[in-house]
Amino acid sequence: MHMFARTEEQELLAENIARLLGEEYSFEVRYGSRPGPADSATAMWSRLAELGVLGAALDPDHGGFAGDARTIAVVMAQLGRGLACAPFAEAALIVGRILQQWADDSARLAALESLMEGRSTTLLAHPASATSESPINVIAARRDNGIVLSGNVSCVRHANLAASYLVPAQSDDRLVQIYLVPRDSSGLLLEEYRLIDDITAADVRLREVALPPSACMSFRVDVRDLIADALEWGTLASVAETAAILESLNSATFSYLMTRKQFGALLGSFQVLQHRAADMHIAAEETLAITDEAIDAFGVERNRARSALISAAKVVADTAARRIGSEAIQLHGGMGVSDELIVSHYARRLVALRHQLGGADAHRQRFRGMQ
Amino acid sequence: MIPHSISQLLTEPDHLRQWRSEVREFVTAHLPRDLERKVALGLKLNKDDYVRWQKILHQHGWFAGAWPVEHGGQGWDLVKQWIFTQESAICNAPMVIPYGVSMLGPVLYTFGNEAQRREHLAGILSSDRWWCQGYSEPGSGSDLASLKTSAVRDGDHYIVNGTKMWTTEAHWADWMHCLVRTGGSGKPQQGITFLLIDMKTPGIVVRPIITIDGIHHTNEVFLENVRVPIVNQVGEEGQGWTIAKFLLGNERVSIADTGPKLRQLRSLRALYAKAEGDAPIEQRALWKVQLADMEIQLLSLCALERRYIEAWNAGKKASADASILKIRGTEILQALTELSLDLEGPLSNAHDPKDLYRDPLHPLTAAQQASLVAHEYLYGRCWSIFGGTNEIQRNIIARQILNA
Repeated sequence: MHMFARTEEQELLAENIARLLGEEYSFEVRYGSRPGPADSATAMWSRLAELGVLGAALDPDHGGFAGDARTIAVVMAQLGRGLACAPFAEAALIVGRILQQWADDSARLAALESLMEGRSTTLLAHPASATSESPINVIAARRDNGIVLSGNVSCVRHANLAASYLVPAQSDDRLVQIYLVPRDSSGLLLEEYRLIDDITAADVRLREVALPPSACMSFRVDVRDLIADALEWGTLASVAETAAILESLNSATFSYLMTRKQFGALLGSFQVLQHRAADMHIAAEETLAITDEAIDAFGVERNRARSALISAAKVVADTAARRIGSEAIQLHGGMGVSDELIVSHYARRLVALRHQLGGADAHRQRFRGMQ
Repeated sequence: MIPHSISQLLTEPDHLRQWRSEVREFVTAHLPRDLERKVALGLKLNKDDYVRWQKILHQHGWFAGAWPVEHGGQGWDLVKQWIFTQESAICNAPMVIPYGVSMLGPVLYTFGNEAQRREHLAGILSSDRWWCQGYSEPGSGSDLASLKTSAVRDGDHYIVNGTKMWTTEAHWADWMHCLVRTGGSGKPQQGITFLLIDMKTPGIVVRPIITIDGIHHTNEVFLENVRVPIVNQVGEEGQGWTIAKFLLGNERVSIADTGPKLRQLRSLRALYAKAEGDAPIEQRALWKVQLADMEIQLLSLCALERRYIEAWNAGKKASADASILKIRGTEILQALTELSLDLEGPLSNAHDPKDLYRDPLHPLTAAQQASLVAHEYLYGRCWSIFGGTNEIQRNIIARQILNA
């Protein structure tokens, strides 16, 4: 049984992703060949598209085959376990949720088809750590029958992979709209850097980027709600991925404790380490349980209970990730900090996940606000 | 808005939601006002209070939910039992005292003979025969199998000698179900026998143990040449450990015990609402975060509790799951009481055990209310110790995850 899966389709989907990552993009293959995993992102993305995985993020009404929270959790768990650096949450899920509500029928269909086929990548230009409550820093001004965008969006994950961006911007009358901005627009600059989980991000700088009026996308729902909804789905994805990595780290650590000997005894025979392992197990179990509850809460449209629950799940996942990320390294001893073992890579990915879409502090506040 | 309970954030299928509201309606309609107030305020309930509520439950067919119908129970599955227990506590109903109905009853209809069932089941159902549990001993707590109380055959009687300890509410009990040693060789788990002992038998002395909260909950029970008829042996001689494990296994459904914690969380929110007005803004901000964190921890315990109970209900073996619930449940309870104390501010040191016996229908002073908070904090220290310390629980978890 694969994590979060309840149906045969979900089991099969998980199996397919696990096989792809295990055979073509295993940790050993990717990390054995320098310069590193980021280079495999584009190739992996096409393979995921070929396998039809990208359609998991979209509703059947829009050409996808799932679009439900549980299927998305199933996908994220496998991508997490396999340490995939593919932008499923960013480019398929978050963007997919937004594009599905695009009121322009033909543009919508074309964009979603392109998304599913992995032909071109679109990203939401929002800071990696933003929650649905974060302010929007890009300003939209009218000029000469067109629009000019100015501002800076810091740390957009995978920004280098995108052919275009969905840029939320605020106009003088405080109205928030989303603008479709091609990567090669004049005045759009990327300041790229690598992140702790080996992927590339960029500050997207918009210096008087001039756009035609058609760049302003119209949606069937309120734009702020749409963004908030999409970011909540993204948060669910990050929590599901965290849950899977926690399980992988625990299982690596527990088997290490039962293999490695010190002073003539298995590490796992020392009670102090047994108890720390027990606490790691508890933390992973809690994350799994609250994530399952959050998944069920996504069966309805966004409401305060759902928002509170996803924030609660993020806090639990973040807390568990902090504990397990550091304990897995500590209990592996020197091997835990080596680049050769997957442990240190999982630990770095957990740091990234913890800070994505709001950390524990932000979500505690958000949880309070939702009640 | 303060919800009825934060656990409502979790999605529940319709039939369970329906069951929950039935429970709520029942409790609201039948729970006497003074009992409701006692539980809501955190006052001490006496034996009559518990008996009164259990009799009400029994009269209306809401008692012994876990028992099969043919033995006078309701035949509820684990999920229904759990929702009943949780929702009752949220609605300020007294807990159902487990020693008879939850512990001994299932032992009797599973291991007992016909005569023992006839003799004891009715008294458990009517709450007219009150039970205590004679397990722990001085020197045998979490390491229960090391118990030394001996039972030696003498014709159609056992002669029992030894001391039982931490025997909660033994001073209320008519009878005690008890583990005694009938054989000495082999593993410590062998040679243990399950006996039912009438507390009026000559040779039994009950000595109160006053706990850290200044209250008499528990006791030491001295047994000196106590003659117990052989007919009061349940199961075979030497089967005691198996029966004890079965009995404790039945406790798993209430081991996380989220109901009272959800109730306490409500009090905590009320405390915060009271404290916030006078607190400086930095303190308020800190409390808000702590409160949110507390709520999130409890919510995740509720999620974990439901996940495990549903799995057990579907036939999965409990393994270390129950230990996880025990550890997190008690840690969260203790954290709740610690935060409550902090919120009492200048009154956080108020504590007079007498306040636990105040009139529930008469308003309490601020100091008296603070006193009850301190009591919860102090009594809360017990939870991570009894029923197998949290350290023992971690050993159990480690055995499972490390296959050691």
